[in-house]
Amino acid sequence: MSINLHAARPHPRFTRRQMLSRLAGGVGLAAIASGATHHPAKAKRLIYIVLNGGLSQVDTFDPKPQLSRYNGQPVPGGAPKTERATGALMQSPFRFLRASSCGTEVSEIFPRLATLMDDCCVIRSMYTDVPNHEPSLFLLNCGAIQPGRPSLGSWLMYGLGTENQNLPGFVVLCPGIPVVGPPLWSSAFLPAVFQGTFLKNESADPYALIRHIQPQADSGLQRRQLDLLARLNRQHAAARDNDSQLEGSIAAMETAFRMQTEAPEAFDVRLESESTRARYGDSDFGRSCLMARRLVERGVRMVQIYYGNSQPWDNHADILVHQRLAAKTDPAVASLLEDLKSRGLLDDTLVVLGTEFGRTPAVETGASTPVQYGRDHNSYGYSVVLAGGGVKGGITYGATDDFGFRAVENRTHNHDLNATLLHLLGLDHTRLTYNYSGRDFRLTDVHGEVVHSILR
Amino acid sequence: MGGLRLDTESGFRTGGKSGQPAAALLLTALRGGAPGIKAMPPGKPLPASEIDTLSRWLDSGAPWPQAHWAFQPLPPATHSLDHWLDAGLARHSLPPAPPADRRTLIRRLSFDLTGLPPFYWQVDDQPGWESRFVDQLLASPHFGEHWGRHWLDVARYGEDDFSGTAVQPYPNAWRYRDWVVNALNRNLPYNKFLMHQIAGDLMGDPAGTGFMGLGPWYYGISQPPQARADERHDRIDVVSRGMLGVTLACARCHNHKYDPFTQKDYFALAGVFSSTAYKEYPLVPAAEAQAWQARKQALAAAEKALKTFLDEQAALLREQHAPGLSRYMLATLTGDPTGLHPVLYERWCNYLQKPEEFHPFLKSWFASPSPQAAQAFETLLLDIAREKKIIDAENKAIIAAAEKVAAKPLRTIILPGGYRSEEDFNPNADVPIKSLERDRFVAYNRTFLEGAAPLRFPPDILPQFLAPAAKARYDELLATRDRLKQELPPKFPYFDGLAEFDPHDLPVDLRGNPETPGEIVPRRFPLVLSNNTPLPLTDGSGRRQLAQAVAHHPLAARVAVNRVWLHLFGEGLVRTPSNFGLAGDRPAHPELLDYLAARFIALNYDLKALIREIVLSRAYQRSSEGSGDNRYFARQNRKRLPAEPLRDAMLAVSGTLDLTIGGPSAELTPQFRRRTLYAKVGRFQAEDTLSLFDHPSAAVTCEQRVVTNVPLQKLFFLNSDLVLTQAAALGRLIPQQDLASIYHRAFFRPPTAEESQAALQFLTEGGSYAQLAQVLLATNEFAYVD
Repeated sequence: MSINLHAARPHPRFTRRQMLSRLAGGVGLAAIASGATHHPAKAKRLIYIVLNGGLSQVDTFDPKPQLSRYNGQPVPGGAPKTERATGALMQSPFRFLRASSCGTEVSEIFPRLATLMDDCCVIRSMYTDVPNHEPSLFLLNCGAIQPGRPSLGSWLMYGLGTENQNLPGFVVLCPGIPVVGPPLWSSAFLPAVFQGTFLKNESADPYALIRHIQPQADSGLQRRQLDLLARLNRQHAAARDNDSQLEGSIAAMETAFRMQTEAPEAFDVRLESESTRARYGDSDFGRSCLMARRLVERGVRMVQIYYGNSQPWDNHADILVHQRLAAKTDPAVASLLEDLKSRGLLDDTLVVLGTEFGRTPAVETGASTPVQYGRDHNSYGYSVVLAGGGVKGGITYGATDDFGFRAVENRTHNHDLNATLLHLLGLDHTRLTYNYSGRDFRLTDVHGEVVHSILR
Repeated sequence: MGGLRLDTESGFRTGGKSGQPAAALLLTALRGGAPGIKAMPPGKPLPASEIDTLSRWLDSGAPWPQAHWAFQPLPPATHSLDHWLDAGLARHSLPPAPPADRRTLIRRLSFDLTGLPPFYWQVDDQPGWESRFVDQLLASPHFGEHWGRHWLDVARYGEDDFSGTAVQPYPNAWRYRDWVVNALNRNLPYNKFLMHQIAGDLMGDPAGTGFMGLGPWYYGISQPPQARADERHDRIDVVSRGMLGVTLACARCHNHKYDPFTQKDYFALAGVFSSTAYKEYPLVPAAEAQAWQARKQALAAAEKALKTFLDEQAALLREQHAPGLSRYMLATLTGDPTGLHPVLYERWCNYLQKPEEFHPFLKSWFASPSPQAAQAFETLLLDIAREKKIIDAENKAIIAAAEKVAAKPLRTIILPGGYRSEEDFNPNADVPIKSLERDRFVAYNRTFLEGAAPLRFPPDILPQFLAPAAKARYDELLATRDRLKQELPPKFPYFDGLAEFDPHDLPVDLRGNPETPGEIVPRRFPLVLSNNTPLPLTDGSGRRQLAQAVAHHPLAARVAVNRVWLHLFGEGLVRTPSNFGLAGDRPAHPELLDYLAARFIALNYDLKALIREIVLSRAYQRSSEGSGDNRYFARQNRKRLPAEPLRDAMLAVSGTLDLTIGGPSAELTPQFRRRTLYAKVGRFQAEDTLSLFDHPSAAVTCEQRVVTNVPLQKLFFLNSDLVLTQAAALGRLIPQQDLASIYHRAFFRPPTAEESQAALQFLTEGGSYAQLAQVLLATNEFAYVD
């Protein structure tokens, strides 16, 4: 079932045409992946959690003592332009904890995550291009601020295929719909088969989640149908030189037959014990994280989780809302990391706790917010947490200025993050290209540098 | 070698700042450099063999490569399609495949020309039947449906967009789709077909301008200058790649890396689209449309008046009921609401049951509920309310002052749905105002404003608190609003198109960034496409001139015939159908492509005549038997049916397909019986079944569909409602007709004895007719065309 990517040979450089003819031939998604990394992969799979709306770095993973000292004073040198008006510096209402031996400080609103920092790398010098949600979400996912480019997961499916033919390889979970929605997991000009399989996981019933997975005939009868079909298809193919696309189609039907039993089991979090479900927390997000674990255990290449519908972390008016959101995030992410680790999966599963941008250390004062205790969008500096999959644990990388406004040291653009994620998964972001209408496109466009110093 | 360019002959011959021709210095640079001459390429020298090749090229006088094939004029059309193809095959020593048999050819022609299975047609068997059958198919209105969809892929046809916050539907989009279908059916010459889509409004019929009127529009996805620039980018992309097969859109941030397009070429064309506006074209008399708009505005005004009244009254009621709120708090202790308003009492009860964390100033009340604690809370709330009133008044003045000085936009750009481009989805977010201190605001908010606040007066409960005079005013406002709402008819039909706008030139955006404008460039056609003589596009927006230049450029004909070839052979002669530039594919048979393009022009851009000529060629009618690469078309290609004909064929053979032509789109449900062309095409969210079968994204122009063959598609055949519904319908036909006629419908041939035997065995072992039908629909033979 799974393919050993660690024994990867040099990438055979499929042309688009070869790749498509294999797909059309029904060779399937797994076969494309056989050994097809550019270099040995540290991570085989990726769980990308998006705390959508904009996680405030200075209240979570980027402690700024100077912000407390200068609380209420103007931003020295003035604040960079963000979406809305901002005023004086505002200290975090939260304390920071040192709860791991590495000493990485984490806000008290993530008490369990704070104890797992020995396995985590916090990049504190992230930045992106635009202080608005939509373009930043597009950039995070698709490497461009406008629609029409393939998403990270689609690129992974194109580059690596999936480890498990019986499950979709790129799954996106959200209880409803995040801001922007489907274009964020689109395959754009890549084959449609690479697009994310989006599941509104407000229901725990897998048959309600996955289309066409409920067998419509009892298995004995369905088997007889498939036998008859195979017989007719065999005769048809034999008269046509056993054309590979016809052969592939026959194989794909057998795989589909097996998927009917394997896929529902993979998505069914009700098969987990009561205590396990309790550890993740009885919330949509907790269920997403638990489902993600079950899926990567079964060889799904990428699971992306949006924290919630619309953009819950967009706390313009009251930063204390972060505390309420973190109360659901902390147990779920911590349990996910603990479980992956205890099962030996964290070594080759990369977990990203990300967001589309950060928030301003200065208080928001614009007329569209009713009270001034929140923070505006901040594309100039934010934090992202990485764990497992070949990333050094127990470190922080880069830094923002004294107040946490701008990334200043080891600045890491979202393109650099994407380049690094692809690198960990065995792909060279400059060589993972798709020739579309005569031009080679890639996730990072013409940008991106792998952040080598955070790699194990 | 500063300033040196090696991608043009003149750059190479004159050299860079050093003043020396490149030929003199090139080898020195390649061989590791010298003082003042950098080693090239930096860091990794070329292999010796490549340097040797360049050296020999320089020795022979550095002949410059011939100008790119695709930019050359077309030679006159001589000989025939088969002449050029056979000559090409002979050159590659490839024996042509034998002709396909009659049954295969009928099925191929039927699907290729109409997207429908062959059992619909009567085909005679006299000599020359092929041309009579082709004429029948070309005359069928289903021809336009099938070939219209091919164009809609290029036209990135979609029926909605993402506004930045929500889906923006285009309920009249289907009118453009029908325009395309009709244009193909009435055989509008292809040059006119293109021109109408760029500038139909200037040619007396704006219907074709839905090509761009339907977007994509990016609304508030990003800041207005960026979003508008991205929209122009789409227009440049769809015209240059979709119609001309050149990737001019690559020259947005810098000159093109491969092709002779400059950034100025890009912005010279962008100016044409900047001088063009979206326009909603009503399909009713102007007076009727205006009357509807007036009623719509009256309704909006009535809604606003009602809301203003409710807001004012709610504020008054808050002021009126805040004093004495402590009485309600105390009553929740005793359970005795005597003398209190029952609605408010109940809400206070609910409110005070919430956990303490929600009440920043209720700690002492929860610690020990007492009259003192209640009174203290009331006093505090009244104080906060007083402060809030003062702050609100101050903020109102601040905002009014800010709005007075705000710059007016240069041009008001209106997008579909009346969306004003400069419209701020977040008004006054950049104006700093004053605010209550956080905990005081939270206390106020939770008492007066948010969802379950006890002293909130939402519209559903507010009327019962009004004094008689106010209640009468409310009833009047409500009645007016309700009457206007009820009387407003559905919006009149219209289509989305283009119109002229204030003509102006655009600056080059440095590095493609609209916030850093550079030199202004006059509107003109890309230089290399007009023999390097500027072709101004300055008559109005310049769209009329652009349409003329695009539609009659040899590239347009080359691209068109290649697309036709692609749809009839499964692959183009050029396998990058939207890129005929240097980085694109070279034609498999260059003379054949040029012949077809010249022939197409000689036929006065008659698309049906072109298709007729191709499908009646020996080349088209060859068998698809054989294996291996078929780059040179020595045989036909076996093709899998795309999403639309695949579903249409399922409905057709099971007897449920409704062949009505045209009209509004509908959701693709299992109950939907019309051709798949009439299913809604989402740009925001691709339709699940269509994209499962490789329907392209409607966000960008699609040059060619990919074909995938994956288990998820097979699950669809096993378990989807759509397939099961069709299988049930086909199954019902089996006992009525017999297996032979079912096979005729599904495969256009009788079953073999073995197949009949297998079917019979399946039925006798307990399989139902519907289950047998499902198997037939799921076969490869059903989905593939030889």
